[in-house]
Amino acid sequence: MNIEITRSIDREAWLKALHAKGSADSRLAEQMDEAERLLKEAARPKAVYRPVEISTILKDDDPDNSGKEPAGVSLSIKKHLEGCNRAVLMAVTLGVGVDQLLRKTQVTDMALAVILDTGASVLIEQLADDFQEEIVKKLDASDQNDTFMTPRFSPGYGDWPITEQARIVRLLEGQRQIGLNVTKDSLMIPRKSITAVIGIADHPVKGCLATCDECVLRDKCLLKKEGKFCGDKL
Amino acid sequence: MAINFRDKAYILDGAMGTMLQRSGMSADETSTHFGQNNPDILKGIHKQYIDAGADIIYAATFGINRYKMDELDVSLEEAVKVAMKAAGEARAEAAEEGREVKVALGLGPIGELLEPMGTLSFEDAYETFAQVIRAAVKAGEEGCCCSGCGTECSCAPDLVVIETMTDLYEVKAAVLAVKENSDLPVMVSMTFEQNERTFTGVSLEAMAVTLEGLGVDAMGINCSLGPVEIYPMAQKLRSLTDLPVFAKPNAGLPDPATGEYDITCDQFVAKMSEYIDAGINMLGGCCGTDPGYIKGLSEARDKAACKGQASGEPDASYADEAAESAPRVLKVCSGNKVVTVDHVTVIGERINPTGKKRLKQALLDEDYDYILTQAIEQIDAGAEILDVNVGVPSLDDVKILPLVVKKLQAITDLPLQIDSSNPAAIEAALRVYNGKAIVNSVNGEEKVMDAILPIVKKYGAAVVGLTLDENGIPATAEGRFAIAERILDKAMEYGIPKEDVIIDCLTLTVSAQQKEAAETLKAVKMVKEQLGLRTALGVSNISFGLPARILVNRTFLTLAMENGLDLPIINPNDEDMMASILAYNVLKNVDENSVKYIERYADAEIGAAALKKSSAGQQDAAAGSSADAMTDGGGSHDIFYCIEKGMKADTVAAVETLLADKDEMAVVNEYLIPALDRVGKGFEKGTIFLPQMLQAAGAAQAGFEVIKDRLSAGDKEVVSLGEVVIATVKGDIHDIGKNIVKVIMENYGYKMIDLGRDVPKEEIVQVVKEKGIKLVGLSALMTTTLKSMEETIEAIKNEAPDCKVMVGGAVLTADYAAQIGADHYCKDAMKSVEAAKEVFNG
Repeated sequence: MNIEITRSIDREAWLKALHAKGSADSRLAEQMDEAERLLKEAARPKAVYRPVEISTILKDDDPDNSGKEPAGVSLSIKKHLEGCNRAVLMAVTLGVGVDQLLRKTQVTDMALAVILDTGASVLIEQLADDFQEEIVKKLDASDQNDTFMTPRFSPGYGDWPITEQARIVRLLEGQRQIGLNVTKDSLMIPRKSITAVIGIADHPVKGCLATCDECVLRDKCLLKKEGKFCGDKL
Repeated sequence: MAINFRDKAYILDGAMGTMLQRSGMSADETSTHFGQNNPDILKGIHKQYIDAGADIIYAATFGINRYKMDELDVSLEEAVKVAMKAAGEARAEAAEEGREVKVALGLGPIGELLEPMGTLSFEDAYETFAQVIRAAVKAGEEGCCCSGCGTECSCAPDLVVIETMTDLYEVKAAVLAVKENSDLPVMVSMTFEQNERTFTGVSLEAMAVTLEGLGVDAMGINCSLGPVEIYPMAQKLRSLTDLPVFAKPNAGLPDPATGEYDITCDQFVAKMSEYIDAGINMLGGCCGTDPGYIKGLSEARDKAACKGQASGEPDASYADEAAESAPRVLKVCSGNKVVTVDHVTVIGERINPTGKKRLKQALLDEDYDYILTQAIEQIDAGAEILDVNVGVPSLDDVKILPLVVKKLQAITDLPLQIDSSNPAAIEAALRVYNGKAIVNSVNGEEKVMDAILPIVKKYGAAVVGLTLDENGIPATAEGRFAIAERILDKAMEYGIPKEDVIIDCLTLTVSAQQKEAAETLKAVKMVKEQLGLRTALGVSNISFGLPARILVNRTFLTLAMENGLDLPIINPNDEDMMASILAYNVLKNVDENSVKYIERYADAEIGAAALKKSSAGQQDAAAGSSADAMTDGGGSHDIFYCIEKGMKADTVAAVETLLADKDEMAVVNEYLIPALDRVGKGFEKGTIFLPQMLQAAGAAQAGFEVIKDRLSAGDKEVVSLGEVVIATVKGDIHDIGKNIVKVIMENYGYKMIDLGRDVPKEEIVQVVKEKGIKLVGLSALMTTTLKSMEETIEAIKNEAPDCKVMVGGAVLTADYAAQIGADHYCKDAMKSVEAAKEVFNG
């Protein structure tokens, strides 16, 4: 389904992504405004979700996988979904227009390209946040019991292999529903897209985001160096 | 094996996936996998659709291709045969009952996106489809496939259906694969959103224009939406083509949570009956439909036939109507953009190395970014089509022309004009072109026409015919007109539609052949009025050898437009020429209320100097230039300040001033590089951020362009500090970091050979060895592609031990870089400059 961009791109998160400390000077601020205008013009955001059984995520009884190599068992996703009755798969994408904008801008103006690229990343996170809230509302309306949700958890995060991306997108019919594709190397196209799983329960659940020790970025993470954790809101 | 799709209204089948789910397929299993393991269920479903009234059934080959082998337990050939056999048996059993049913080989999206969106090459996509088609043809040739069934059955397809497509480029690969590997008729349907575009941005019109050119037998719309939403699109498609049109809507729209479709069989059939009335004579259903829906459609068809609507030649009457209402107009397109040549349409001429040393050098250096910049400048200036010519004698245009076409279509959706006289280069470029291009050119020589026109026909392009032949250019308008007539006749003989023939009556230099300027204009008028063809002219040649050429050029252009010129081939950056066209459109009542003219020139100043575009007209042209406009362009700052602040125009002015008394390399070494160093130091210290550093780099780059122009004008080479190969490794498609490094290193004077993203190690090693490269930069952004980086380094070290490797990317650390054998770990772009200095300066 099509989704709307209802708020402007968060400047604080955007500047952080640009590694620009503090505030933007007037020139950068102006370019970010221009970048936001271009992004909103090029984006055609879409989203899809689907409730599934926990076992589908954990692949305990995936009939399609019979006789084939099992995917790596992920402890962190298991922990995250602990105590949940079901799960929801979701995907959001900005669409191929943003990819084309980024390709073109990289030829003409690399500085603007970097601003656009980081802005698009912040924007898709925001859209994922908003869409997740939409899902909560819809579940509220349809099912009185299961109304509690964990935060999002995405393939490639913690020790959940990124190779699971293709399966998640297939389960969501991503290609047919929102034009979301996965390359054989597990990368999503359009580039600015997010897939995630959310646990659903009949009691409050927090989920369990991967710890820094489980994380593939543990040696490199800038947040960790600053003593922060990515699971905390900015 | 032609099928007359116009002889009646055809009923197509309904959903396969929906039926398989009802037959016990689990939600997590793919239709392909389940169908392959249950061929009897496939056959049963086909029979149900036939019993319901389907005339054409789609074999369950939709999801079979070499990129989805993990869904198969058998070889691709066997899988195709299993699916074809299920449909073939159903067809044979129907034949016994006197029903004539056709079996279509179904081809769906490969599942990997093509370049430039994805990583799959056009050639690979072609081969992927070709493999399936060959398998189906072979299965058919092997004769009766179900030993012992006692019927005359075969696995052979009667036609091919390419369906549920979103990328026109992928469709083109599939259509070519069908045509070059079989003689089967081919139907194509794409899937659209409510905004009448596919996910990749293809419009109904681009689809119609391109597919008519490629010679498909019918086109249509399927999936995504229900009959209510698709109806206006189907009507529109009906008006856009003379070919038969078909539709296979879903059973309404799905509930996002449950996946259930929202309209009933009766509602579906009621709406679909309107399609029959609208001249859409092939109908079926997609997701959520079942034999009940098809039975309903079949009954509706029979009812309409009784009323005389859906029998006989329904399409013919529509085609006649269309022909009467509006003559067909030349349209060209890219995958996403259609240009209808019903107004003066500017073809940008700048991508042509003839007489342009800088472009020639860029082609020789494989500096494609320069060519792309030329393209974007022309687009921003108002070109609607871009001419592409790579004619440098020492270059292999059969290789380079398609390469440049691919690069251009990655950054622009303007249609292209393929400019070459080499039939092999034209074919290579047309093949990989996404959309309907123009070929420039043929002329009146028989052998030229016989070599090029069949290619134009095959790929569905338009063609420019030059009014010259083996005897040269006729002096008179009548002589040129005669050649134009000959070209038109020949083109039509080859099956090229009349509206796709464009005539260029040839501009001669007025200072040498003064009388003939009038002959050219007269010929344009004759071709336009008597043959009804579109005309093109390269304009600026007229003034060669005269002073103040622009005055002659723009006057000639105006005269030519008045005589019927449709497609001026000009430099759109020449504002005087564009202004003449805009003013002409005002005077001819084309630009209603002078909207475009006012938009562009509201604030224009016309003084003694050249006419300049007003700032208002530039607003949507150069993205991000607004910031420049505020502070930049005054020309009063020193070059260090200009670069640090990213002021492009002032940097250019400062470089030009410096060049008055310094040579080019002194300006580079004493000003540009030190200015960049200063910015780099700020970046290291954290006082300058990445966007600011890149702005500075952009300004310095503008300064370097001035230097490069000066050097190539004086036939001097740009002195390079060293050649560096740069690439994102196989498996990874993140390239922004790599491109940042490229821009910064170029500024420092290194010649960057950019191999792109997802680059196999073999290709990198080959270039390193061929060119004796001393430094390679590799980028990888994911933990999963670090392995690929390691293998690439190993391959380089094995084959070219002297070559150093520097690496960068988000997940790398200095330790890991050392561990996988890299010589330098670059945490940012400035570090790569340091690494290069170490490698090249010791």
